[in-house]
Amino acid sequence: MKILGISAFFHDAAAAIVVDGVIVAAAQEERFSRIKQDASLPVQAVRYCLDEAELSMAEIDYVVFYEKPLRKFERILVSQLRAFPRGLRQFGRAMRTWLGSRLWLKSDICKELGCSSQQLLFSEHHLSHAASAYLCSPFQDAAIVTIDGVGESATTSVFHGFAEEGCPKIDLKLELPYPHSIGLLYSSLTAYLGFRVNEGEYKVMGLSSYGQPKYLEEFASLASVGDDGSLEINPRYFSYHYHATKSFTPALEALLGPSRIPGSPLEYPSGDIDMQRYADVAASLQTFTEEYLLVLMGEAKRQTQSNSLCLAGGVALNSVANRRICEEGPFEHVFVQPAAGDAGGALGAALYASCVLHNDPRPRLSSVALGQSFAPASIEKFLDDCGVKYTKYSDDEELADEVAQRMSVGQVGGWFQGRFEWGPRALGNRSILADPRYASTRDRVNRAIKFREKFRPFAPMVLSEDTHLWFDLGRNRDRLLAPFMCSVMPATAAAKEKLSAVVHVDGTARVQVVGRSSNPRTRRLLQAFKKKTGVGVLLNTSMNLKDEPICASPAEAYGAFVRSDMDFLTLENCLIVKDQI
Amino acid sequence: MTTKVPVRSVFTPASWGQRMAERGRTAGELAGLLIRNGRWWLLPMLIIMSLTAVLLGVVHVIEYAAPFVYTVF
Amino acid sequence: MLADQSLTRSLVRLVAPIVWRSDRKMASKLAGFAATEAGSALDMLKAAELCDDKKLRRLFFRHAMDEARHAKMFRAHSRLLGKESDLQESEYMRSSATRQNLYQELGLVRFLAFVYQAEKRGEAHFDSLRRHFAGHPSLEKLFEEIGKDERFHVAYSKSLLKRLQDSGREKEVKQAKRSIAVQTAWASWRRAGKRIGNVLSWCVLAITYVVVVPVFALVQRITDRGAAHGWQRRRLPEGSVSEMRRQS
Ligand SMILES: [Fe+2]
Ligand SMILES: [Fe+2]
Ligand SMILES: [Fe+2]
Repeated sequence: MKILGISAFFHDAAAAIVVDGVIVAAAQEERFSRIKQDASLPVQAVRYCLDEAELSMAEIDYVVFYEKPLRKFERILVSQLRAFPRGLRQFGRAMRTWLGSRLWLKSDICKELGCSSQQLLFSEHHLSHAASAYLCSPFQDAAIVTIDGVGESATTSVFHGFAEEGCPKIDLKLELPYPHSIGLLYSSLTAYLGFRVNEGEYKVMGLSSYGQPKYLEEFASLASVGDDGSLEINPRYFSYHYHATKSFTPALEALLGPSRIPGSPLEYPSGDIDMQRYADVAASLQTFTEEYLLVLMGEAKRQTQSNSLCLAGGVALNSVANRRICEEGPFEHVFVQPAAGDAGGALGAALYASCVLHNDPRPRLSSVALGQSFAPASIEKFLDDCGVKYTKYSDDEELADEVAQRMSVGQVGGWFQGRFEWGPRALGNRSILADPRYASTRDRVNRAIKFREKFRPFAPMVLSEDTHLWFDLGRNRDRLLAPFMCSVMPATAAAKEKLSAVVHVDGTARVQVVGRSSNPRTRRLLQAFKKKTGVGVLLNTSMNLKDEPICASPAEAYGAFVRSDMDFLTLENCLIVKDQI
Repeated sequence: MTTKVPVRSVFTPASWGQRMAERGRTAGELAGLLIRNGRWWLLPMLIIMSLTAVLLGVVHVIEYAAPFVYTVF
Repeated sequence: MLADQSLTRSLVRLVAPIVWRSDRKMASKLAGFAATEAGSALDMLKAAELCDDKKLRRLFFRHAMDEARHAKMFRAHSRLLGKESDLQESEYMRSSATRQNLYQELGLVRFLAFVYQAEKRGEAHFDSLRRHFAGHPSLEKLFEEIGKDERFHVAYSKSLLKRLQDSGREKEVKQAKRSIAVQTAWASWRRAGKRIGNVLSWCVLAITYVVVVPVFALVQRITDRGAAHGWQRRRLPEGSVSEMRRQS
């Protein structure tokens, strides 16, 4: 079966193509349109997927949209009426988008993508998330927990994945209805802390390490957690179900103190009382979320009696919580879909139709390099045509040595290899790399290259055989998460001493373990750096400037290179050095 | 740097009539859903809202005649 | 076109004293310029990536590098003028560049026409600002330096268009120029229209909200079985193609 999955219209649109159970390509629209978290119909991503599979739209068996739009519309209508008369603005906005366009997305998709309505299928939002995790995982029998802001009407779901006569099945056990959502609670407090919803959550996670969970009692009144893992939001404190722009009420500010003005300065460690309070609120939020998730996992275990767990949905991007689920949760094995957010729904929708509906073989997700790549010859031609000076290395070893040498003396550079990554993280194909040993390097990358807040940590990538030297893998269960940077790991004493650029204040790091299935050039680079410095670790951050999507093409990489303070840029086997151009 | 196969080239896009028919089916499906869930009484509201939407469509057409549209009102 | 340029000049002369009245205003205005320049750098780079002709590529690429440099210069000056602390976040917010994907959308000839016209307008704008800041310790030089590059951009895009014209594509070029001019005017016309349209549609919706919705909200309140909370159990429909065709 040749199946195309699509997610769109909420945030982070994406397309994925699955041919006979093989994930041929998957990419987010933002990489093509260069609009961060572009939510519009992913026409360019679809085009790319078809190119990669060398198929035309007519040859596709099914195009699967990742949710049921009409059910979502019903939920919105009802919750608007319930909120009456408080939601004029949100009502206006919702009616305009839905009656104006969203409601007619079926005919719009057919028009824009050139498919027929007979080709078009609709999955369910949380089912798509569940499929994106379970069907890529190595498990036969697993509990599947999907947690996000809200889908059609569910906010959290527990599924059971199992095989029946060799055919994978996904059974819904429980679901939690809107507005009772840990994801929306997290987002509301992200807004309270002055960050942008849907992308500031990472910042909150980073910020939480600077504070103490002093407000757990207050949080207990924001939402109550049942013994059965259910959650009930106290509507006194939140307004996301009726307010168009503000997600929390004055009552929340009365409880936790005034909210932070977006854009006001944040420096840590800090003596400022308010700044410390924000960190404490972030820490309390993080702890509250983790504890809730642990209770939820307990219920998922009871419901499924399974040994393995699959996670997806936006909340599964919380790598700190994932670590605690691995360590303290009731499951032996844990797998997280790397594109856990709504982009991942495109892949899940396609996989569901492929593996469950048509019994195609299940894929194994050994790498997230599922995006576009560029032929080295075309890169050279581009550089030649533009008159850019570069050195071409025909020997990978030499390239690795040269780049490692530059990094060991404090240089920072771009690393562009092969296909770009699926999901929000750069894992060595579109990365900016640097020496992990000095905090000064970290500060420079934050300040002059990524232009982002000083308190935010960077992630390390580490040679798989060296991981135990620097990081605590945990009860051996992180191995499934380690290649995709899905969970944090505590740093060892040696790492705390030597890797000050990549160990966060709380003594953890969001590690990417580079094993044999990773990009060979990236592995070789780590080995070369280890030979030079004795450290098989690099600081790794995505190749983008602040608030921009990760670069896709060589020209975009070059654009980021010249617009920032990067010292060098590696495009496949070509090395460009700043002082030479 | 890559060759681009236009997605639409292999398909004749649906005609305006077909698309409107598709929209009609979608509206019917929505009505069915609401009736199934005992919310049939929402339908009149949606009809009124749709008429408003048509009105809004007119407003958006007026946009083209703007910025002098305020003289009309 | 000439009218367009002199219009820009007189407009700038008129509003400059207001727009550029304080250091802080200047800083944020310059940061805005930085974002625009960075955006056009990205567009020119994309054009360089997508076009195949070597000569065009090199020109587009050089143009992109110029714009990237301008962005950097504007940003540096913005930082000098504004107080680091109160600018930091908002400036960063604005320094993120957006590409408009002009080359893909317009095609070569119309893209060139667009570049030519936009650069001409930009050149006039910066030139007026240079005059406005005559005697200013840093900004006069800044606009003068950038102006040089802009004049080059105008010149090369003009000569490329000329060359196309001479190679027998006269009609196409003329058409492109006209359509871009019309498009630009149309876009600004529509921007103004959209604002009014938004206000109008908001009014219409507000009236419906007050007049129509209350009745239904009342019915909702009467028939409501109470909002659901706690775990819900629901059987997923049997996975089948016919079920998945449904949007509900
Ligand atoms: Fe979701
Ligand atoms: Fe410029
Ligand atoms: Fe320019």
